[in-house]
Amino acid sequence: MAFYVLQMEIAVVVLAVLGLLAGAFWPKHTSLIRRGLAEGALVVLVASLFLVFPQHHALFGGAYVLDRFAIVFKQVLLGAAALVLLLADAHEPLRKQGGTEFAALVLLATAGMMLLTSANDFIFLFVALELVTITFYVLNSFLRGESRALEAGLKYLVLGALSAGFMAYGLAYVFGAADSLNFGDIHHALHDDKTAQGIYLFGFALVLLGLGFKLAMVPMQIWAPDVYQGAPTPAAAFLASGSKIAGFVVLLRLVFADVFPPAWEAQPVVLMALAALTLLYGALGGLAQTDVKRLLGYSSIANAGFLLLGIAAGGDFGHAAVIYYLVQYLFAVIAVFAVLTVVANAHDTADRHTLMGLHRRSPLLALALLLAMLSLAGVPPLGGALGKFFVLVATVMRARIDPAFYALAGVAIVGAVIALFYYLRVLRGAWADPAPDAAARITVPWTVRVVLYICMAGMLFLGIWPQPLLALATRCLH
Amino acid sequence: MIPTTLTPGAFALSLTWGLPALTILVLALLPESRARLIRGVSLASALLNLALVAGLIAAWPAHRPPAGAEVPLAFAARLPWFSQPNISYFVGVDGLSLLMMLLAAIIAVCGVLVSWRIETRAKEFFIFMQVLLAGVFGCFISFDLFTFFLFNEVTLIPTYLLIGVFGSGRKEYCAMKLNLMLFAGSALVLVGLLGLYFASGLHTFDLFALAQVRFPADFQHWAFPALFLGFGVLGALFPFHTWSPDGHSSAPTAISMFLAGVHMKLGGYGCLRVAMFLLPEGAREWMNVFLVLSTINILYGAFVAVKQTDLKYINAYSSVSHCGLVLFGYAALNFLGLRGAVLQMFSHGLLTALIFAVIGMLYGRTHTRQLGELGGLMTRLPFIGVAFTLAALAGLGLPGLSGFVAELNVFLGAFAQTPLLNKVCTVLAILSIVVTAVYLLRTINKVLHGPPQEKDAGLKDADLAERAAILILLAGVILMGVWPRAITWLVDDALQPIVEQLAR
Repeated sequence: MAFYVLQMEIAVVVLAVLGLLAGAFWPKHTSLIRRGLAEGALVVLVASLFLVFPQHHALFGGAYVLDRFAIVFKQVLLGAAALVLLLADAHEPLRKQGGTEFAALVLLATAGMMLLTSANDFIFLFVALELVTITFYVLNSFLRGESRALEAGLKYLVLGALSAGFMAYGLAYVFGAADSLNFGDIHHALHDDKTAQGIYLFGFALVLLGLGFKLAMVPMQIWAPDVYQGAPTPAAAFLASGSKIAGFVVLLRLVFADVFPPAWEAQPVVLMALAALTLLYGALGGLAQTDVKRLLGYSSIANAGFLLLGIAAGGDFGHAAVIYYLVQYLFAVIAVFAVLTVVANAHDTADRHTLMGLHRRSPLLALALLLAMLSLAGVPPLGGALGKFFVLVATVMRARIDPAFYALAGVAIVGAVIALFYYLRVLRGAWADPAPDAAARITVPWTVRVVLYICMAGMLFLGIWPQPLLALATRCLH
Repeated sequence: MIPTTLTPGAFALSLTWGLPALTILVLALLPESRARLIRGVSLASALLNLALVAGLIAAWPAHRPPAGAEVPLAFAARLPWFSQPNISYFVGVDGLSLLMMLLAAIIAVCGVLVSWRIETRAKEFFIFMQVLLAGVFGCFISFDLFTFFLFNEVTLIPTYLLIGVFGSGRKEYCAMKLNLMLFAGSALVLVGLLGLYFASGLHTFDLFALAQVRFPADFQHWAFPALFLGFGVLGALFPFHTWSPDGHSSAPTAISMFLAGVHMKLGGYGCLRVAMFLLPEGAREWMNVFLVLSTINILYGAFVAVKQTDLKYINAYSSVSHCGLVLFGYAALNFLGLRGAVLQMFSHGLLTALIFAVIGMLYGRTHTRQLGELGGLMTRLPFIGVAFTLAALAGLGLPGLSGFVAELNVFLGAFAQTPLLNKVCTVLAILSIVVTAVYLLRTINKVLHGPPQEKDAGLKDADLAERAAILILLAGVILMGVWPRAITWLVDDALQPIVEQLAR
């Protein structure tokens, strides 16, 4: 067995274990260790850029594949983890709690996500997914003194368990219909034997439902606002970036492996309906929110809708658009959470007052928030604008064959206009409202500064020069 | 063949938005306490840009392509941006875009001049203003429809912050309304652009390549209203004009000047450049609808202006009425009508900027914009008063000033169309001039004449910066009035391809 194929995941797990051990042996130096873990993740990322990977490799009887698509997203997820670890080190409530467990758990979740990008078998997928979900149960309720964090953890636990149940139940049907859980075998079984397709469809729908929990897709979206609001800000940041990206990578993998039920490939009505509902739910639900973290929960749902739209539209360009969208979304969403990490109040929530007068208290944070909100809203010259544009292009391309997609493009545009309202309202608090008297200038820790600079550069670069990433995304498909 | 590298000419064009972009960086590095320096840098940048545009206009006759050239642009260059979807940074200018750039550059200079007294958060104010400028200039030089669209979007957000932070009255509501309506308008435009991209079969956003295509009638049937309405929202087309009185009235002076004077013109520019140029059959098919809507614009704006008591609202509704005249000129679908519309854009840009500037100066001194609380200011503030009077007279179309030239062209063009509907609408639109005279003269009368008020005794007339701004704008208004040829020689050539396209 060629274990060097797994070297990135192994490195991350080793890093996590080292972090736990070091925290136990040198409890006085936890801050140093935490930062060391973030830097370690970055080192693995940088090293992976120079490693020569085998072109196409499979392990464990084809359950694990390593291709360009997987490698690129392993690197993206590692990058996200490194940024989140830097944030976690600057997060006051987490610092007070001390210890290195939070950082180690983030790395373990990252390992799970990295495994997910390579999953080519439903059992492997399920196990990797559980590794991510179970670590998040802990991450979300890590601040055990806060009732909101406990509530968030519990909600995530209950719904996570439910979705895992759905998925396991669905897998039983999938196995019954296709006699295998390997994507390659399923693909053949489906096209050779047409009798079992009905059962397969049922099983696959349940699997999609289980996966929908990770994506924050209607009807499994209900937890997102509550958990984003209650979870420690860095955990919410990782939930919104890493966890969501991993979920969509799995969905893309299912598309690439061609294991979607044949009926859906011809006319993806279910995906289309889910995309439209998710989009509108996220856009409309956010209108009445006053807490920024909660609002981001709805924003994350709306963005999931856009991504689903890209997947439903399909085609090489649609998939490349989804890949582009995921990467630019990462920068925008981490930037917002980085700002909130610093400004969130003692209870680690961010109601309207926390952002008031931010332009006075810290111009850097206000600028980062401005760029991130505009990118999420889809305003040029930031990555988000092109992300939405590419998805729309893919949708209209598909609509020329299948006119129902014109309606979806319309829904997407309406959703984007509605969402602009709440993004602008956040900016109003930060830029227009005067600072409350008691609010002093904010000093931004250097770790957060680094994160903000990286995210702002990323958003601007992707918005102005999208060609490299788009080319890479296209290469990933083949 | 259009060069695919950044030629010196294309570089100069790119500088028109590059200069504001560079100024943003410079301003961002300056400390907030150096307000004088910040203003100085902004003014220098605006003046440089004006010089640059003037230079481009001077160089234009030598570089203008021969008649009938496939791409009738000077200084054109097309740099690939990304390949799929096929988008390039395609820049160039013709007379029409040069005229619009001149307008933008003039108003930018005047905008900085009238903002000389801004002290609170001056740095942010001037930075956002530069973002707005960069977006507008980028729009006028872009002939790849997607880059055009992107630059247009760039203008939206600074607008929100400029109104929301620095405005007055119900500023947050108005800023949000303006942004949401304009964003929805651009969404419609985007739909139309994607339609053009795919329906042409060319997979390109290149304006002139698309113009070669004869789009099928059923495509034109839905794409034209999407594009014309989408741009029409920005051009304050009835019934989608409601953002403009609110937005322009609550913005700070310089931004009102720029929004009503230049930004709104992007809408009119887009209607002409994109919707009518590319979809002539759609234009012919739908024009009656837009003819009626723009007639309502003209009359409705004028009548509502009569009932207003806030000076800024009077001018904002007057803008709705005058911008209706632009779209009304388009609806004539002939050379005179189009020329009148373009002249009206330029004339109205200068006039509305002038009036907003004057209103800002009056408000800065008397701290009220209510008609009932003003009076007898001519004796206290003769310079501002004279400027206000001249602007109002130009607005109601007095011969010898810019408004007359534009309106004459529009009405001649419109009346040349034979159908009864066109004649009726033209007569109605001409009658609106009477209403315009009512509200403008009444305003002048109320604000400037009558007995001087005690409380206004110590008021000082315009200072140097304000005088400069007023004189620059007035010079433009008078020059265009007495010597329209100075403007029309730029425009006429640029309109020819559009008129030919419409006749196809």
